Amino acid sequence: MITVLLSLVLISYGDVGFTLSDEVVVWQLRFPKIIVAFFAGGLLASAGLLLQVFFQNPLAGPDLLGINAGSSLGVALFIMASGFLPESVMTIGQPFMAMIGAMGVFTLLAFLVHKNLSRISLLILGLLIASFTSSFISVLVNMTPSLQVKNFLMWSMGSFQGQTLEELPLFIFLSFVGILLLITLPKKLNQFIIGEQYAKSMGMNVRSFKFSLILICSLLVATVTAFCGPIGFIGIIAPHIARSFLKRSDIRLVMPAVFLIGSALALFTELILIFTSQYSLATNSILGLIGAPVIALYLYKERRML
Amino acid sequence: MIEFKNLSVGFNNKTLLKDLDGKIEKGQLIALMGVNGAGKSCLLKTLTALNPKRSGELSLDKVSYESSSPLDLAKKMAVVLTEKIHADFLKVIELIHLGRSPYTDVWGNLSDADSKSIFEVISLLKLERIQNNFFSELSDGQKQKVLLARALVQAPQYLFLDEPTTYLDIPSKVELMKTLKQLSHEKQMAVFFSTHDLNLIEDVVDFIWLIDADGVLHIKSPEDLRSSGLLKTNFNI
Repeated sequence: MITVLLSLVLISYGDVGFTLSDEVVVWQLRFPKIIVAFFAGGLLASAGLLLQVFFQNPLAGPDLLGINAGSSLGVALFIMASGFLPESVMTIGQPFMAMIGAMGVFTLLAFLVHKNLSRISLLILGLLIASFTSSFISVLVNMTPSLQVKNFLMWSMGSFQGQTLEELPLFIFLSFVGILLLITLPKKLNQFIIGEQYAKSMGMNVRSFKFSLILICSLLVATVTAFCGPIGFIGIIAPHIARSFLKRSDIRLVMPAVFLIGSALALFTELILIFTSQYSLATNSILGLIGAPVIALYLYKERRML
Repeated sequence: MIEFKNLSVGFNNKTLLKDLDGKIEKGQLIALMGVNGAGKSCLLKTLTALNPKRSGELSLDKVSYESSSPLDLAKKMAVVLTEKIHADFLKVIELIHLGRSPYTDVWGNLSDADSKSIFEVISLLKLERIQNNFFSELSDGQKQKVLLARALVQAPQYLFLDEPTTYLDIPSKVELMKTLKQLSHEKQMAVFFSTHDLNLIEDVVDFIWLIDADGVLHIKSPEDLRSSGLLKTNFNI
């Protein structure tokens, strides 16, 4: 178990070491990408884990539930409006709006689930939210001057590479806040796994815990989405990979593994992008090629559950 | 002692039962009976603070539920529910550990006292052989036992079980009754459970709480209940 964890660390760091030594000259270009991929992958994967526990639904993930989309809508509104906004709000505004969007969708979902929504309906609802927001965004795009549209389209491709050294500190700061908040959760998540009622009977304030999950998860998704664009699949597959490797459910073990697997997935995608740089592939297409089969495999294995 | 007066219970803004009076004392073994839909689960969940009461007074050791913290309540009472547990790869021992949550630190680490009480419960319920299995792979009887173990390591003075005998075969039912009797009479725990198995419990429990078709709660010893004719009117027995 520990070796699995360690080897994952090694894989992650192996990637880092490899790219560093290979491209020493351009480390200023590569280094931010590696940092960004490491944190973004980890945060998204952790957000996926939180969502799966929250909804007791192994197919929950920030992309499938439309939380990425909510974030995107926030960012879209911000980028479209950026022509009218003062310079001073530029850096913080994007993550802030992403956070609002993510929280909006999550709160909506949490409220509806309270009304006894089945597992499948939840996912369909997530897809509906995602398609609603993307339609809304394309309407916005058509109504906006071209410079902002170009910025937005670049962002909406989703990439760990769009960051400059100036943006990096804010991203790292938000990532650390996210990680610190994550560290406070394992005990309560463990209690929550066996069901809301049992958690309550063990003295947990379920209402405030759920609220803090919504807040933390939205922060994680928003941080990534604001800086990297909507990134798919990591949030849903990393928890599955972690669980099937560890064969444990204790969040104290699962959470770090999920984080590192998320990081490894993001770094791996980066690595492929570097090797295939002459084709300028998109991050999300690579993740889709890895992610979709993994989910399909899971569905096949667990078909009796759904 | 858990005490209630003029208690109304219900959910989703609907009142199911009202004007309930009663008390549960340590050392008592109590069975809650009533036809399906009478409101047994609802009453049980209100008594365990899982559902809020609609109105009336409800107190534990003279302190009302509202003025005690959830954690204080959790250290005095524990539940075994009918809800299914869906966690994959959850080990029996880890599930039992969770029962100590009200006592452990923010990380959920076990102290020596925690480990000791877990060890005692495991040997009391003879769970040594399955403690490293996955919960999802157990039989219904074993699951029930493990959930009971989780509740017991919570060190409750009041133990509540919602229809614990429903999915069990006859030997497991009898064994569970023995265990519950042992807990209430030897360990001075109050044990309160809902059930439909009148034949099984009649000779074991101290009191039967019967919710009749009109939503009235009758609290009687099994002998009094039999002579009262209530069983005939409610269960055609």
